[in-house]
Amino acid sequence: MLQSITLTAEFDELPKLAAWVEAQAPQFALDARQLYAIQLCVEEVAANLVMHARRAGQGAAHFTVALEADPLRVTVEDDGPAFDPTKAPLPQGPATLESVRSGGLGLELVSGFASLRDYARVSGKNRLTLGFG
Amino acid sequence: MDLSFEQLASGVTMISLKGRLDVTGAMKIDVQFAAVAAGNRAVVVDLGGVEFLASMGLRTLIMGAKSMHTKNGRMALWRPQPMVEEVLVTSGTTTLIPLAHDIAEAERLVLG
Repeated sequence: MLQSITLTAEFDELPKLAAWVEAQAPQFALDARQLYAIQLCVEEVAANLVMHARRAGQGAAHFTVALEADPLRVTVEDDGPAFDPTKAPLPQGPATLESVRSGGLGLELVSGFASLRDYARVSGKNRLTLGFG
Repeated sequence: MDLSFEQLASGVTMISLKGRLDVTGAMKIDVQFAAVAAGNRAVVVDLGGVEFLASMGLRTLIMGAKSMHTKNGRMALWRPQPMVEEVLVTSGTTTLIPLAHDIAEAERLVLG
């Protein structure tokens, strides 16, 4: 089974993504934990794409999120500049409120909630696969 | 995403959040949350009504706690749902802002 959705890299599109994942929950028999983990990871990855697209001044960048079963996994593809989020340095969790900086927690959450993370550059696209075994 | 707040008899300010604290939810309450946090010395954030929390929501909580900290104020988080608690722990947020499941404990944490 494979379902996918293609969205514009805009913050306004993110609620649609969450609603889409929720709508897939029955046919993929997602339990509450899997549903949360997938919604969380796709939101973090998509929010990063939106921020990168804004910084690059790209108009109308798109990304596609696909959900597949057996094993349960999510693939996010975008045609932006090559970026491997699995190699991005994770911030060391700030120890004190004085030293805390904003941002950087999203990828840390993805590495905590996805059981597998795999990146490939395929035909000029970034392809990130996240497993939820 | 909704934010409301009230003063408790103990002098603690209770900020109650309800809904999805995702990118759009965080954008909606960010300014008001920052203002209420910065204007009070002892704040308990009721997360019981928060169904979903992602990194932008964490940022809202952490920046609020940080601005309180610079004025010797304190914030505590109260009664998150299990998955929301897992996000708080996985991200290291609970090392920055203490978490309580019991309201008396939450008030004690911020009154010191």
